[in-house]
Amino acid sequence: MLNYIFSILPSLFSGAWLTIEIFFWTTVVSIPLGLLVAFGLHSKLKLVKAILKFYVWIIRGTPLLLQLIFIFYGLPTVGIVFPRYEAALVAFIINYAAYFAEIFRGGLQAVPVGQFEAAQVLGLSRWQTINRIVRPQVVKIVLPSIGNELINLVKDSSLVYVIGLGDLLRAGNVATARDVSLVPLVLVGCVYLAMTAVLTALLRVVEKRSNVWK
Amino acid sequence: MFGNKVLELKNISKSFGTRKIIDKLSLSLDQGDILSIIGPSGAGKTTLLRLIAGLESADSGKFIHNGKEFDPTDRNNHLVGMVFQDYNLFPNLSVMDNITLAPIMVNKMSKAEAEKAATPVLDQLDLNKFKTLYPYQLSGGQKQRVAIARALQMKPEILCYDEPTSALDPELVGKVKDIFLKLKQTGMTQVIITHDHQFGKAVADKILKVEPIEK
Ligand SMILES: Nc1ncnc2c1ncn2[C@@H]1O[C@H](COP(=O)(O)OP(=O)(O)O)[C@@H](O)[C@H]1O
Ligand SMILES: [Mg+2]
Repeated sequence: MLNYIFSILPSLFSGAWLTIEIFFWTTVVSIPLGLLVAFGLHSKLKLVKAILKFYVWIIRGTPLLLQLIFIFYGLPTVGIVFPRYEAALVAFIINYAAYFAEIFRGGLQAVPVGQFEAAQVLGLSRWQTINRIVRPQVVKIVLPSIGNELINLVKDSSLVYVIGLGDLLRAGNVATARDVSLVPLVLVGCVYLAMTAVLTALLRVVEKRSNVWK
Repeated sequence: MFGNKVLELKNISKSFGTRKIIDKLSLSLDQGDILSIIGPSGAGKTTLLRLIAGLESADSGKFIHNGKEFDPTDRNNHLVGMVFQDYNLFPNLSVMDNITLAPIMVNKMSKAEAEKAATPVLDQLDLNKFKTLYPYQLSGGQKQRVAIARALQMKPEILCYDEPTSALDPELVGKVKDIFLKLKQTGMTQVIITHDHQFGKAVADKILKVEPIEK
């Protein structure tokens, strides 16, 4: 049994590595992108605002699975072809940026006008106000929601299965089918649990550090 | 006492939509004057203060400082300081950082210089033992004194207060009154909104009574 477990671990770990890669790139690209979209949603340019609203509406109103299939299997029919891995990243980044944008938008709205006014009377520039007053307050407000989304992302990354990428879930499923054994799927569950546990612990540290003020 | 006209308003008017809030208001303050603005809720007291502090722009009229017209909405003049009704301290910054932020960011002081400059004000306002605390750890009266210290660090010539006594316990009202009078002696010109006629009369050199404008 133990030997069997050790024999399939390498393939599970290589699948887990792909899951981590997707998690990493989606996080580092879609968080700043979401922030930009959030600022755009406050834009005075009506057209920019309308387009971004439409984008967020479409993305949040349709399944990520559909978006993934659309990009990998659908777009080639109109001549836009992404390789598997890139298709997955594009789908995840577009999807998660929309969710992050909504979270940041709410966070920005939660900073009282009085904070901007106090900064203005003191003579702070807009940029200084954003950087020293608004950003820290928004970060604190959005941290729990961002954390939830990141944990979802770990699990959502398994959706790349449908476009044939060799992630953790696929590695487990292949082994289960080949060896007619439940063990690989149980191990897959354990690896997901380990990843979300590590992430939860990290998020808790970050939240604690932001709790010196209220 | 000091003699120069620090602030003159000439025919200032302000409407929100079709509602006229302030109609051709003129007033004149000498250096060191304390002006009390007295009137019922909705009379436009806060709006007047916000016009002076440049948080709203007037529809018509002039603001004059020492004989020269100026634009209160220009962020680069630091003529006017403001103590907001609910103080608007920055919750993410300690008391010291609240006070030194603008000197550091706007006047490009070093952190050490700014903290040194803050020390006499912290002493004077009895805030020294709170300087490492955050706003949520302070009482209302302490928050108010931090807001005053924060405004003072930008060396305004005019300091405005929106209802500084309405949220205070009676025994603290005397304490802020002392602060106003001490600042007056340094030549600070002060504009104070109050509901409290007694208080307004006790500290003020000039009183402006405002009433809501009937349409
Ligand atoms: N930004 C605004 N837009 C529209 N109406 C406003 C605005 N600010 C104040 N008002 C209105 O102006 C009137 C005067 O308000 P305010 O100056 O706050 O009075 P006070 O401080 O004397 O109670 C009120 O009726 C208020 O509703
Ligand atoms: Mg008011």
